[in-house]
Amino acid sequence: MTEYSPILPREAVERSFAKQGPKQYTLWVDIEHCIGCNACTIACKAENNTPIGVDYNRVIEIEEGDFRDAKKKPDIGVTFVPMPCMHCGRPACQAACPVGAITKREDGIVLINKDKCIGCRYCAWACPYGAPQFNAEAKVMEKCTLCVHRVEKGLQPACVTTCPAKVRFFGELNELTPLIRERRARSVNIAVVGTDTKPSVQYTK
Amino acid sequence: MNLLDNSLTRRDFLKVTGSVAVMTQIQPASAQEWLSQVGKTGSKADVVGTDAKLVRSVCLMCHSGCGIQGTIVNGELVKLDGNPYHPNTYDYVSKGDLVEESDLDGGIGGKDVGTLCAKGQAGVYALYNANRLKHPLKRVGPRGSGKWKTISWEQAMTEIAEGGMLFKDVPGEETRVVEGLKSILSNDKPIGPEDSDFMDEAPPEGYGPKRNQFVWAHGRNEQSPLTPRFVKEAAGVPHMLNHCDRCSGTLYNVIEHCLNVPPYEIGAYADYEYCSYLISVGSNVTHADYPGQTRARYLQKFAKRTGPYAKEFKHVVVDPWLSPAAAKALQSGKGEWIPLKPASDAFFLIGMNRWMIDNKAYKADYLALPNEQAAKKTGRRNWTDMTYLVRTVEPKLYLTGKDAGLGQSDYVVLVGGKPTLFHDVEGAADLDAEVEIKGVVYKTVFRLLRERSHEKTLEECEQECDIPPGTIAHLAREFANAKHPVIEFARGPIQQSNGWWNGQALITLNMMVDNIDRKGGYIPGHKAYGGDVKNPVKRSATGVTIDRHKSKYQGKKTLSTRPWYPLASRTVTSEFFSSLRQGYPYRIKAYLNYYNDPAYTQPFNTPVIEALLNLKAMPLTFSIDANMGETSQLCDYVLPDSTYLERIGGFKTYPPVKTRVAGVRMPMVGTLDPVTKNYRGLYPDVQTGDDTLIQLALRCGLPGFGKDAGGPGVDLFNSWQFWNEYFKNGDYKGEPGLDPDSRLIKLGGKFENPGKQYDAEGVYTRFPGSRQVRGLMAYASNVAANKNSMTGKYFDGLPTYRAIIDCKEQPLDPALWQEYPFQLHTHKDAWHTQSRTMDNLWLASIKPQNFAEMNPADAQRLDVITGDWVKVKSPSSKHIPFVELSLGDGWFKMQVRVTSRIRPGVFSVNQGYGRWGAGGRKWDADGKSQFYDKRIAAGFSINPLYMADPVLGDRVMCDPVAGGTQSNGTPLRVEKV
Repeated sequence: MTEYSPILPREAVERSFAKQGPKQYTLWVDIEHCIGCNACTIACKAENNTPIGVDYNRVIEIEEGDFRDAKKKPDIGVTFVPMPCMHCGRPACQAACPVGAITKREDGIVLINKDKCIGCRYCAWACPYGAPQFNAEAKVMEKCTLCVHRVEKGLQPACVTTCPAKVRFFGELNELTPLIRERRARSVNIAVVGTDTKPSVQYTK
Repeated sequence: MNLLDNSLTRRDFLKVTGSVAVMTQIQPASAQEWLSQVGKTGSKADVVGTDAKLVRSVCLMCHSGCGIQGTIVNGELVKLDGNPYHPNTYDYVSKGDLVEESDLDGGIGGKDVGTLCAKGQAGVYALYNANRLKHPLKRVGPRGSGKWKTISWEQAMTEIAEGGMLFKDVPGEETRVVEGLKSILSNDKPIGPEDSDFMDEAPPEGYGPKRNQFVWAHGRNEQSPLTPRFVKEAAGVPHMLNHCDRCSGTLYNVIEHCLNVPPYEIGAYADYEYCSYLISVGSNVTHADYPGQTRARYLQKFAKRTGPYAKEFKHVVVDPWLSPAAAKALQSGKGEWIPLKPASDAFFLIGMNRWMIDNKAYKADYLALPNEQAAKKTGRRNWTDMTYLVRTVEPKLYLTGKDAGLGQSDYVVLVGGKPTLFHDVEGAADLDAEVEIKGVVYKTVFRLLRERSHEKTLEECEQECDIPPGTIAHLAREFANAKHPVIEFARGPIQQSNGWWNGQALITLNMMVDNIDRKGGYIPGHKAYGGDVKNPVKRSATGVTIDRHKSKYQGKKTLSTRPWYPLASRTVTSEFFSSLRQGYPYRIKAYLNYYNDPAYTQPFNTPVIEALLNLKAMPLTFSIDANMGETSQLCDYVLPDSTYLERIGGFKTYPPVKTRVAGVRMPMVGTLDPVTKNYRGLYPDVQTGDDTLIQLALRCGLPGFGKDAGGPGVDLFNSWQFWNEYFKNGDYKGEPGLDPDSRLIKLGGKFENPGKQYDAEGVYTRFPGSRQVRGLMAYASNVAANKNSMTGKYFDGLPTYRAIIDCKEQPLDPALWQEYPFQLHTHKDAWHTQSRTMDNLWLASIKPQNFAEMNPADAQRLDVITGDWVKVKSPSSKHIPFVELSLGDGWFKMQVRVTSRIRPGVFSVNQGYGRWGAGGRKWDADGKSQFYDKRIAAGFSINPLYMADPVLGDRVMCDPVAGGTQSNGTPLRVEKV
């Protein structure tokens, strides 16, 4: 049996995922060339006016290998992984929310309705990626909206527009996939073991 | 609302001014869907309606000068993006030679938008930062006590200009009389024994007029030419101290010499877009330097992915730290990381030269060209001095035609062994040769280089660098065989006491592969478009500056008490602060600190703090600052500055951008009086630094500003008037100044077609514009002509195999390393600049604190794991009371992070953290506690731990030629707490 989230029974999750639209707007992040500069993190803050302590996008550094002997060639690697909301195909946050404050739109974007939110943090607990965060001032949960307010105007998300190394791309999943193949980029699956929320964000390396 | 209230956030500001909250704008029906889906509570996204305004300007979160555009809604800055017209942020081609508005779809909602890095994006926070000063302040306690009172501009200007018993209410200063700026600057009598105990070290013409006892020091000055007009032409003093000695002073100096380019203060970089083999030495390519985001884009997008050599491109990063660029190089599977020991660069670079020479991997036909006609014949536009003959007896200068008895000429070469005037040679001259004339041996520069490089074997070099044997040969071979090789540097190799010579060695490698100015090669910059404001009544700045840059020692004593720097074209600010204690070479009376924070940023900042606290050494100090910085808080007066988003001016860009650019800075918010053109930003009692300087000049009766100061009918009473005139002259002749409907203001600058990067043949860049055809200098005859004023010995004109040296060019005592076995190191994250980012809580939240980074091998030996505390000291570190983690007796406490990203033996603490100003330390104004947030003070600063020069004892070690500070590699002792 596939676990959809650590705390919810399967039936509850299946009920929530009854409807899924044909489209999925999402991001493609090229972590081979991401330099970990965090321009995306701050552009997002500036665009969404989040308080200190709430960051819709976070960049993680993964250090691998060990280097201790300068007489040998270093065997070490560092990868930078930007983590926005994954706008999952089967959002655990949506399933966890006791008041039904989270919607998945026809175009795939997952949104928290902060007016309905009671700030219980179940969604944060359920999400394997740490996307929903608690706004201590407003006492509601917030997360990346894929800049839905910009997307509706035909603009790109702020994180995509600002990326200096040009490693973030926005589009419809069905259009991004052939583009990735054309570039011969190797897909990397960033998923938390034991969960199957179907994260839509594509990572390549 | 009390304007001293320190909790004014952007939201509060909205309430204060009665602006309409963004969310109630009328939206078209279809756009309501998402609004109802996210709700109105909590964070509100920027909803841009039709009444948003776009203002273009230039960023100043670092010094790259990226064009920005701000979205303004009801007078509030809502968002910043890159200005797509500015080539730092966007790649495009224009139709004509100059970019026009129609070349891009760049308006609000347009499809062309420039990129902007984390710092630039955080500019919104910087503008509304709660730590901003809102009124002029005067200290009411002793210096550094953190006790202030609000005063009016009138009182501030009067007291600074007139002087008097300004601090009679401060214990200990009841009878101290301070000479005012007006009196100081009107004193043209020569500096004499009443001002100096060192008259016997003065040059024959003396130290200059007494008005030289006024000193200006800036950290980040992008208000030129207004600021030098104030300092050099109005005040008429030569003291325009900058921060270059701790930054890139030696870099620009050595590049300007070797590449023979005019001092546009720009340096040289790799042509990232088209090179195929790149060696970066001490250069944090993706996270630092200029322009930060442009280098990242050129490297990541062009060189590696879409450039013509993307498939074969290889990046080698030489750095004790695995920078993100190094990580990316390794990740590709094609790159390399060479983690050499800090301060061993000379051995690596001269070693590379040695391999190239021994294996004849250099372009012999190019190096043999001695002049312009020979170069032109082979389709080249530059040549080198490799064939020029140099004396082997001091002074080791080029052999001139006169000394060779051949006629008038600066250089002599050998052709088939026969001495010939260099300009008489049609083709090649002898490259590796020598000759004896009148009993003196002369050798070619190339032969001298070869002999110098042979003073060490490659094994010895690799031993010094602590890198695997064979590394140098392997890299040099690949470098020589690559189609478009280039080796570049930033601060790593040249911010060192041997920095000048390290720089020479590196640039020589580029000469060896004939890539200077070439497409895909090593390229210098250009002169930005520039305007002008006439100055019919200007004073001249003469005399010797306290730091003795550009001054040759000609005193009566054989040797000087402290070093002189005749060849340093940028100031040696570390030397300035340390010399003040002795009053060397003369005492000063007033110090103006502009947008500057040396008390925090100077390596070995302890003497800087001591100088600032010393009433005798610095009788009158005042600072122009937007917040209560570490240095400002040690001054007598602080005059509030506006932020860069409330300013007028302009700025250039850097060599990675290969077309001509000038960005124009215009205020994003605030009000401009339509008649007087007086500008005010957010706070009514805060004015631009420009306006403060103009008013100060007028107060002190100085020329250069005021009525008709820019010529008949050109008044200069405020910032707008100055820049309006500036943008009508020079390269802007015929343009309408700051007219908001002009192309200049609409585009945010003047931009040449970004597609016009190379000459017609596509072989060379078009820059440097005014001196494309020229000879390059591998040898530094100007250096060899000068003596080290502390030893009386001539400097070496060739690269030298040295690590760390003191001011007398002696190596450090090897025994020091027994007790201090670690080497100091530092680096920088992309979202930090030195001293204007940690107080920006958006940026601080990315990485709330830094750590002292240490290799697992060392951590194991010390028995520490990540999170453990250690204490660290240098042979010269001293207690700093303002630093909470200063334990006393020179020990500083820090938290460790164990990582393989730093090589063994190194203790690395990155810049920007461990602050105690700008809101990081408590302070009072009018008896009330001011804005303070301990998050600003998080982390640790390495600056107190740089080692002092063993001879002088009171200053960080510096390059004796160009003054660059020894910014890495010095000894440290680390113990577990």
